[in-house]
Amino acid sequence: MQKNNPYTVPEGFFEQSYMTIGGRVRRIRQRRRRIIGGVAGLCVAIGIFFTVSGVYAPADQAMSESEYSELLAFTEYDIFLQNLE
Amino acid sequence: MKSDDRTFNEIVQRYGEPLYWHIRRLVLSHDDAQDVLQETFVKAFRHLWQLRDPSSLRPWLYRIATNEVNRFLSRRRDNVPISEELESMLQEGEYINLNDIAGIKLQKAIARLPGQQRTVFCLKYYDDLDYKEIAYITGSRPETLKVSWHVARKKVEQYLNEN
Repeated sequence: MQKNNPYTVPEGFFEQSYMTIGGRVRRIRQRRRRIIGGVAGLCVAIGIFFTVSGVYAPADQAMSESEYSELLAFTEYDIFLQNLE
Repeated sequence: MKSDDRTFNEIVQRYGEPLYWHIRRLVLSHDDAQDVLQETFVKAFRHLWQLRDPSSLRPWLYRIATNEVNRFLSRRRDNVPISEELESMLQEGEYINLNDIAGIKLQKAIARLPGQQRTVFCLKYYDDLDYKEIAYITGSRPETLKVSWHVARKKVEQYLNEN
């Protein structure tokens, strides 16, 4: 294949070299996976934190004052009925 | 293009050797060529997803390798001309067949060429690439490369005739 190429390589060099490259690529892939996993975990943790702490409450989940009064009245009526029984 | 383990291993197996020789002819030292080859494949792995057309994989890899060679040569602190590097390699006799008189003579002629001409000469003479591919690899125009190739060939022939 080589035209007048006087250069030589140590025996088994290419196989060795492919293994080294493969090792480096594997390490890059693992590092990449760890970073992606870390970022995804952080996003989930932030989401859970805001949901649990109640900092983030979507508008459709928020209760108006009249709805709250209705619920309170119903609960009180329910307790009244239970006491009767 | 996919960059899974199997695909990438196939790429390394297929192009590792020709890329090594391309790099070696430009940096000369085996150890340096080994380092540059590794960097080439690491870069290729990182950017493989950007390669849209798999048929342009070979020139794409050669382009990365050539850029890595240029980066390596420009970073070298001692700034020794490549022709002197070859002379010291011949004295040390490391990973070079000293009995290949014709081959060494040709390498001496190539080592005297300026950077761009040397790259074009090696890509055309050893790797049989066409001007379009070499233009993509070197980032030059095909017309400029034709001139570089002819000038380089003349210089090499002249050196071989005179020595």
